[in-house]
Amino acid sequence: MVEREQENADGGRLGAGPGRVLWVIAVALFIALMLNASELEKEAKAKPYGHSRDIWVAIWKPFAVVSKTLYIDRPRAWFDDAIGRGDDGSIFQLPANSDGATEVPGSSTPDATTGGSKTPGATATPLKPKQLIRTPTAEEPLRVWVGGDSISKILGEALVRQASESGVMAPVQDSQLSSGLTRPDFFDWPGHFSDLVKATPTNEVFVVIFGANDSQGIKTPDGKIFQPGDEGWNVEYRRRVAGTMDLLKADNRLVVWVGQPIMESAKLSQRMFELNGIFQEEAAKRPWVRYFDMWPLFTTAAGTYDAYITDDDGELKLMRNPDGVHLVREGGEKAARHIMELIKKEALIP
Amino acid sequence: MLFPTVDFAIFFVSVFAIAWLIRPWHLGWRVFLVLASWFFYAFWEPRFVLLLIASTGANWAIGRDLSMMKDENGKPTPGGRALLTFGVTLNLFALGWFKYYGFFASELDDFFGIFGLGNPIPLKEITLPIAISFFTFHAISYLVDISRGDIEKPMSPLDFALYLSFFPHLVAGPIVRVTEFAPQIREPIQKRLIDATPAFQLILFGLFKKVVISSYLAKQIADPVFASPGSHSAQEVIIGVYAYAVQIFADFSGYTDIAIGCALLLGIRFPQNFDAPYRALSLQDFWRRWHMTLSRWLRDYLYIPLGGNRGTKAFIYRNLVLTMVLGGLWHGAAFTFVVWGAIHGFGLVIERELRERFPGRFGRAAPIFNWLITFHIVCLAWIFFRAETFGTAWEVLGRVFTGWGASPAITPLLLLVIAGSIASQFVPARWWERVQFSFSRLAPLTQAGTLAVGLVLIDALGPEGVSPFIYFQF
Repeated sequence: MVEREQENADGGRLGAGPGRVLWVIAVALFIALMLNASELEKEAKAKPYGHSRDIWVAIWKPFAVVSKTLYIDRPRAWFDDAIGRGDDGSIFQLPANSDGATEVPGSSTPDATTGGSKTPGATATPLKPKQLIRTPTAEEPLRVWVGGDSISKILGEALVRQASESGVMAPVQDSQLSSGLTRPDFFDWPGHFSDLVKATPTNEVFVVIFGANDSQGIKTPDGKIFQPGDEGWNVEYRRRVAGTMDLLKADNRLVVWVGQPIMESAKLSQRMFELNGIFQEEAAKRPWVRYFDMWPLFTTAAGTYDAYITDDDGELKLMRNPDGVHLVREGGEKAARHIMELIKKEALIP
Repeated sequence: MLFPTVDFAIFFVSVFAIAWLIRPWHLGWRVFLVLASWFFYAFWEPRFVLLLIASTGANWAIGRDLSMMKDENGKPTPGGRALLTFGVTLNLFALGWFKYYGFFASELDDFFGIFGLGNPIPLKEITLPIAISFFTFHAISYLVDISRGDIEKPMSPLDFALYLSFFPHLVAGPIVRVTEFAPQIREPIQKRLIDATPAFQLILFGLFKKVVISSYLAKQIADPVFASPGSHSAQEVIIGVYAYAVQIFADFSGYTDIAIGCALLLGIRFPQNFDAPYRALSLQDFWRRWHMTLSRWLRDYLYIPLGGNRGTKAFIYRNLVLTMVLGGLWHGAAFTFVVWGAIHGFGLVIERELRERFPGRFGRAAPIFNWLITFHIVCLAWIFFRAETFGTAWEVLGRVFTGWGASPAITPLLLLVIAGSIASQFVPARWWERVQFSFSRLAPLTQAGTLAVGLVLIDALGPEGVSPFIYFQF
């Protein structure tokens, strides 16, 4: 039997032996594990497809099965429901066949090393003759939603700042770190958009950014897993991009789909470049979507990556995070300025 | 490896079990803890372990030579003083290179640009090694203590490596003095008893503060307000600033609590780092309660060497402001941190001046009045600490006076969390002692069950994934 903590003559604590403390820690962690096993399994399953995920899932699964069988996981589930965080684990189903599911004739994988994007400069796809969104006023501001993956965090903050300062836009931001379109089991963006457009159908501009976390395995509706670079991966990802663009379609609404910037890692850069190609092609098929190419905003004159980039005012500024992926404030401000230009142009804001 | 993760739980339980198993083998115990600490550090960036090892080797060698360069009175010889200067400069150079190069290069380039000289200082992206600010301060204090004779003999290379890299304090403190740490590892221990109850309480409360309180306040209002003050009402901005004051306390003291708790479980006692800072009735009182180990470091290794309380009043005030400004710059390479330090520095000077001019009268106002003034000066300084640019800081301040209006971001729960967090600092210490005493008398299984429920509740109330501690960047 494990003893209680030792006390001195006055009843004060003297402490406990290491064996007893280890016993308490081990039992505490075991009880916490059993109460939380379903959550741990869920978190493990949300990791990128691969050996590490398989190992963690294999570790937590038996605990989750026992926990579920013996109803030990119920208190956590009840608590989650009580605080409004209950999740039935269902994932929104995009159409199996959208326009985007078919390859665009003549399209080929673009190459990040051959001098930038297909569309040179920070430009949008050409304007359609019809004005998509109304010209707002201070009384009736344009309702702008900006969000997506972690790249949208700093950029979104800058866009919210600039849009608020314009006096004719009412922006909201909704960024989810580590999210993307490959892993709806981690964060279900199509499901989120589906709820969002029902709850607030009045949003007139959606500025969405995905891709930075999407360079990982993807699971098709029939359970097949493809890794980045596989043809099946491209087909499935394209289907999700197309489906998400279609979900956001509404009269008098503009979707600005922002491409990813160049990355410090050549491999990641190439992946982002390929994703940008998909975004651009799918956007071109949909009149309500404008593709915004962020790539050239963050390349040097030679078209390469550098953390320090010349800003619009000609000054060299630190624009990228030391991780070689994310933007810092100056970078966000620069990208947001260009996106603001695009929105203003579409809304005919002087 | 962040504290509130499964990775760290597995790592810590393994280290705990092995460390106590081999505790009787004193040499092996220390070697094991050094290796475990390096492994912990390597989790972030393996190559920076080499920097930690290089810092350990260089500082130990300088310390050994310093201990021999003393005159018959135990004072450092001229050579010893030169070596101390070299050692401190070496540490500051490493810190400066990694932490301040970009800042100074950018400022100098701007300066030269005024004269049309272009950008003569190349702008390089230098990755800041995590923990460098903290292990540099540990190393400097070791060298100075040896030189002053506060340490009788230098530590062994192994003990010094453990002092510098011991994983609970490695990344964000507390800044432990050699005189506190060395006696605890020098000799094999006789009694193998762990003061487990306060350790458990510290870890559990630390996790709650970090995972639940800090994350909630950051996401709910502090981050949005500082990201875009213009899109928030004055009331939201004010509550956002209060929220940030609570957030940074919850984040940093949460880290410290976990660090002290983990060290305690491993048999090492750390000094206290926070003592309910938001109940302070003056700025001087605040600095006796906030980041206490940094305060005393700045006092002993900066303020006193600058002249401290000796000399003319102007000289003393200069020392005070300089110490706080440099303390601000230590937090980050930006002028906003300088302003944060300057607000505290000048605030301390004004307090001191008032105390001298109105002896017996200063501080006699109603405590609530003193508390309100102190808390709001601290909050004012936090605005500059949190804002990424001066523009944002001014915008936050300007918004307070111009943007009164609807405030949908302010919810009853938000107000409750902020008020409750501040109110908790007024809870008498003896209440917590009673809780600890009651916990310590529980049967082990009941203790384990209580801890387990606490952990699950923290996980359930916290966000998905936990962001790094704020002080990691410093």
